[in-house]
Amino acid sequence: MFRKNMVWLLVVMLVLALASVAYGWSLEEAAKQYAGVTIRFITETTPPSYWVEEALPEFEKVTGIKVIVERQAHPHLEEKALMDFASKTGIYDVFNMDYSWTGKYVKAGYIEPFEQYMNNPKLVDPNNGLKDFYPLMWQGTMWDGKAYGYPFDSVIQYLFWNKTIFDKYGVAGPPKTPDEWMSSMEKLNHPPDLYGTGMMAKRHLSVVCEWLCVLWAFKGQLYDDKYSVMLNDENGIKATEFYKKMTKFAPPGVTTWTWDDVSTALQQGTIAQSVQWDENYGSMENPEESKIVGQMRYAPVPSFGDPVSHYGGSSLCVPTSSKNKEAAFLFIQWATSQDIQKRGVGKGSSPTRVSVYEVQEFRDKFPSFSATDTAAATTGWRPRIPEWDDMVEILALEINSVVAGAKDVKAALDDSAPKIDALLKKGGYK
Amino acid sequence: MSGRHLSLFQRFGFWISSSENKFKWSLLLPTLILLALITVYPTIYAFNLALSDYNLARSADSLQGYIGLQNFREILKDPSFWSSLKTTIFFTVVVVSIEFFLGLAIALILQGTVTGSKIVRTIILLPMIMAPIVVGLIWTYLYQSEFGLVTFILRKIHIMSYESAPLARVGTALPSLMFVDIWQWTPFLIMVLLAGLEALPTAPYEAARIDKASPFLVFRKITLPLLKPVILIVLVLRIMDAIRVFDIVYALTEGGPGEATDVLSMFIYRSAFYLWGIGKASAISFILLYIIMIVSVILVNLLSRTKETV
Repeated sequence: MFRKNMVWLLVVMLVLALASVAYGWSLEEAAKQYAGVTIRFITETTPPSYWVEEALPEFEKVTGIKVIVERQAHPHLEEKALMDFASKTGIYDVFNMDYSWTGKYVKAGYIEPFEQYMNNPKLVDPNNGLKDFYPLMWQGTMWDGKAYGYPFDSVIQYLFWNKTIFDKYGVAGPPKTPDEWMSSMEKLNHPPDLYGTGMMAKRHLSVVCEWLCVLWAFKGQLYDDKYSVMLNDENGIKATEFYKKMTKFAPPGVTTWTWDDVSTALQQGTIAQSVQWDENYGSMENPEESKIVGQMRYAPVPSFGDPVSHYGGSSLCVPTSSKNKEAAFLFIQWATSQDIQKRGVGKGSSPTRVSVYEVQEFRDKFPSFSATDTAAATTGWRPRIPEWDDMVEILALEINSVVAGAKDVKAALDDSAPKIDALLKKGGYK
Repeated sequence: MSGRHLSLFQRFGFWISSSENKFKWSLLLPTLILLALITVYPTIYAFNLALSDYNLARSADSLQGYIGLQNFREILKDPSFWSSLKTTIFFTVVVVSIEFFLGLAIALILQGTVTGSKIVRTIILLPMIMAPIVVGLIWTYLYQSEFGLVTFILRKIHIMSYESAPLARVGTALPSLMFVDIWQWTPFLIMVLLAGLEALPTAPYEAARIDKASPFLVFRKITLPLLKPVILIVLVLRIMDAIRVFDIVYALTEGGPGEATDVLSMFIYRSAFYLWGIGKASAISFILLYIIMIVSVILVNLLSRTKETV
């Protein structure tokens, strides 16, 4: 009896102790020993980065930690970060990492495993529900079963289609299959005022991302589970022929376009539809820069199989060279919190938490929210292995050459396949 | 002790030990140290990188370190390198030739012009004083496929169809870049050649006038030979610059579409900052350096021979 009472007493004490920790945690208290510290946050020029920078004075006031934000375009973000990480200068304390870079940075030892911070009760906000992050986005920050950051930016690529334009020309939308998609492009193509589709076909990461969506729509893939290259099989050839044909109904300059040019054309209403990243939903609805407020709708990329979308999000991480790791973790926890994400929605920010997408008010105001919610469950990945950069270089050149009319589809894919195979062999995957 | 039996270092030591030379040496030393720090050391460091497997995206322990000439061997086997070298040579030959003939023609027209010459010269200088990356960004808008002014004009005068755009096609992208370079750098040739023309001695021209020589004969037999040193200097400078062209390519096309505008500098940039291969990028930089050195030495030799004959 005595032993049983003692066990109960211990359990109650443990519960009370945990509850007191939970009840007693505050950002102000947790940050006390880091007050006066300055951390530097390197990030991409994306809506969540702008929003977090806007909300920063609140964090600085509560914590006494000063945060310097450095925004860079996607490629320059990596240039700056890698220079710092490789030379171990410790300039940056928080890094906005594209999920496709995870393998590369983990293997190079440039980013910290997050467990040590996530298990530290002094730093962790007990109310910060990690299960609230979309599983897919949470997975994006994992490598070998370990987390390396908190999901920050939801970037999913799917079809942006202008309902007003579709209705005006009597075209039913959204297209569901590639055949319907091509047919809608043809019907909506009225150059030079309106084109059937936009494309991000520059020799750049953008052309690879968009082409991957089309490849998946034709049930193709870069390589299979055993790392056998598949991109030049029948599906790959059909997909790339389709992608090339899209240029007939796209503005003449699309071989020089990236996602930025697609956004501008969608906002101006000069293209009826395009594959685009969901984080641009805010700019479509901003009357100061968009002529098509309230007209845009969102859907998976038309496919012959399951719905296709392409995940391209990012996480906030702590570089191993940082000299202020705990302060950086506190900032990351705050920047990815439900409160900050909810308040950022009106600013065009793209959240990574399920609970934010469930707010009915947001779903009513932004049609992209329900589309992202659906896409997040089915979206595809591009490779996260360190060899991906080299693959992008190969594919960007070859696919862009096809679109620009400099190379035949089969020749381009047949030239790419052995190079990608060689990279996979060199990487030790096969 | 006879100087014949001394080594070069010993002779150098004796030369320095004399008090007059010590003073000269102490005056030279700060400049030499500065030069070593900002030029010699980075060059040696870069060459060291060119012989290594250094890649920013891989941790230090995964690198093989010194790999000898492997980077150079890989580059020479890479078809993209040869394609970019070919594009660079074609770009350099075309733009420098057009800039030279255009520059010389305009300089001859402007020579001796008094009315409004200051205004004309200021206007001519404007493209040259702009940063190349700014020029690139301005022309990005001018060439834009939808609302670009140049694209609009080309379509209006039926040189380009509505289905095309200057930077979007393999056949038009490189000429479009060349046009920008010519627009920006012809003023440099005009100004240097004009300065050269205005500094020429008047006596040969007076003699030619007395002999009633035709203007073409005067140009061919007097102006051109006398102007030769200036022409060679300006060509050396422009060729060196054109071979290294980067800013406008980066801003306008990033080497695309396909490999149409992929010049050597862009190839280096891509190796260093898209693929993080600092070792390989350094090796390509040295190849570019050797090319520029060979071309410069040939032209400088020509120049010195010309000076001897003039």
